[in-house]
Amino acid sequence: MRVLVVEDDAELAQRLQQALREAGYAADSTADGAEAAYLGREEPFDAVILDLGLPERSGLQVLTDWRDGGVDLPVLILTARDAWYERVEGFEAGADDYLGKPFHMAELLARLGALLRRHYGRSAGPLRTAGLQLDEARQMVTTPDDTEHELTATEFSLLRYLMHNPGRVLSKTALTDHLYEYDADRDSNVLEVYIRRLRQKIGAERIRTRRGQGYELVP
Amino acid sequence: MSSLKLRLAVGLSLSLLLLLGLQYWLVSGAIRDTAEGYVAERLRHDTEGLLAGLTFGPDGPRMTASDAIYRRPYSGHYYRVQVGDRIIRSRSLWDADLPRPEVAVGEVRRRHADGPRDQPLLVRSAAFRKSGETVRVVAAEDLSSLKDELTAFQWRYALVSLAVAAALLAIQWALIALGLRPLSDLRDEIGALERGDRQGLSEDVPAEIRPLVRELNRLLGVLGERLERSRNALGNLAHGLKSPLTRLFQSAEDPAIATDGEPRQEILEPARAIQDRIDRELGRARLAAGAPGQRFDPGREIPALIRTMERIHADRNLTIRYHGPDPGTPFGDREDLLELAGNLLDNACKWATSEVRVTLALDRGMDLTVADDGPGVPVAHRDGLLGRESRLDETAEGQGLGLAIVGDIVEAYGGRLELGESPTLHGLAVHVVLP
Repeated sequence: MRVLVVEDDAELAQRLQQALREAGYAADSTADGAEAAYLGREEPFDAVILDLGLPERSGLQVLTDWRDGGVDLPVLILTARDAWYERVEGFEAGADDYLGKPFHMAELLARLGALLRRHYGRSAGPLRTAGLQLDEARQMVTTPDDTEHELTATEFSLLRYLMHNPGRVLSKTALTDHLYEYDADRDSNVLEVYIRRLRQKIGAERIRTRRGQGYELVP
Repeated sequence: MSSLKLRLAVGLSLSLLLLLGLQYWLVSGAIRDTAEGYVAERLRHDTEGLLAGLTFGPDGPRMTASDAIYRRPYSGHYYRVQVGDRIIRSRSLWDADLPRPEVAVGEVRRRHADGPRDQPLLVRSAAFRKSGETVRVVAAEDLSSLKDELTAFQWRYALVSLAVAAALLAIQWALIALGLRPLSDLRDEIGALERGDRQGLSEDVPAEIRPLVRELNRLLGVLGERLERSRNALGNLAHGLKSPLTRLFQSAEDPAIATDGEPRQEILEPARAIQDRIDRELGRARLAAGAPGQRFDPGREIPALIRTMERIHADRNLTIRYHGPDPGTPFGDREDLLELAGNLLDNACKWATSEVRVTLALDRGMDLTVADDGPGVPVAHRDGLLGRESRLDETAEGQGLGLAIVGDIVEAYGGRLELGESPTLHGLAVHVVLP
């Protein structure tokens, strides 16, 4: 899962990125509204955390542009402007959730998780697919035989993305796009290594390889 | 007399009545003088006729000229001719007499006197010399028919004058009302301004009150700018304070800084207190409460607010029902009333099990009820819920704070806030009435 952080307070942006990475997300950040508009349109992000008070172009304007341009990625507005009329304007512009500053990082992560879950049309509670249950807080997976497996950060991200898209063939490019940050070193061989490790933990038959196309989590 | 209209009307009525009264007096005086002059002229002719008809025979002076009018008793035409000791009176005088003023020869006197049967007479006395004798002729005529006609004329004139006066007063009243119309229009506009239906006053007014209107508009502009500035300043202050607060929260939660609970609480509690205080005071300072600003249109904004709530509480599967006016009937300031409705709805959504109902009416002022099917609030706790320090449940963030902000808004609008139990949903029902 790749998240775009649009925040003009550099220190807060850094903390957010840090917290997101710890929670198993790939996180890019920008402080510029125009750049944010471009990234949201062109890069395969899974969610956006958007501050409203941006230089150059306001966050609300960026959001409106995305929605007008058919960009439907989930957007969580994170702002100090949390009067109700501002919230209503944010939601009417197409926001999916709204969090006022100051905030608790745990709440932000919980809401981001819920946002992604809803975006993939899933009901509340832990992520369950293909007999697997993912504990997002502890980054562990439970297989049908009730065994818990610890996951590394990358394994967790990879599995979560697969579990959000069961039965869909995901190309290596798509997977790397959603797992790695913009400036990360993208080596598809590394991906193969992670797939192999995941198969060892959850069972090789659960991740099918489609030659020349990519991987698919068997539902 | 504080009414301009009354003051103008009384002044105009008094001068009009004075003018018409003076005119009445002058006109009736002139007509009476003309009529009497005419009678006097006739009496002079009569006197000359009588003098010509006076003959001096062997047995003294004798009146030969004698019209029938002088023979009929009390006919209204009389004479009395005196030559030396001899007095000749017209038969019409019957046994009455005429006054006998002492006039010298060549002299003429005119006077009013009461004649027989109380007839008002105009009496003309003159003295001549004829055939060596001094002749004094007194001729008189009854004025009663003339006076009757004059009275009739005066009545007619008075009635016409009164009618004219009434018509003129009515026209004046209408003119005054018309002239003062811009002032009452201005009053209506100021009312609309107060309700927030308009932003400024129309300067399309008569030149006399245009400076006043301009000055008012200027003041409105200054006030609006000042409000805008302080709102912006507060917004910036909040913005500025919130980022460091966020960092404070994050630091407190950082396991590297505070591993056990106590020091963490020591950082978190004052930080939360600061946050609550900022929220509350900002909310209070942001209130426009009637100052010019964007209007709240419940028919449009409440459904938008409900969509917002449905997204915020997306996991709760709540049904939010709304019953209220169609779009196009604005009331109050948009930011204030969205803050009020937002806090109430958010509270209701936090506590509701499955359903929230919003009812809004705009008959006189605004009447808003937000009810939920949650656990409700016991009667004993309801008062405390509105207080500054109260916070029923630490986990449902800002329950008490939200209601306290609602309380501030209701107070600023001079309205009423009631907490009760919803008769249909059996949870808390918050009822707000704004005038």
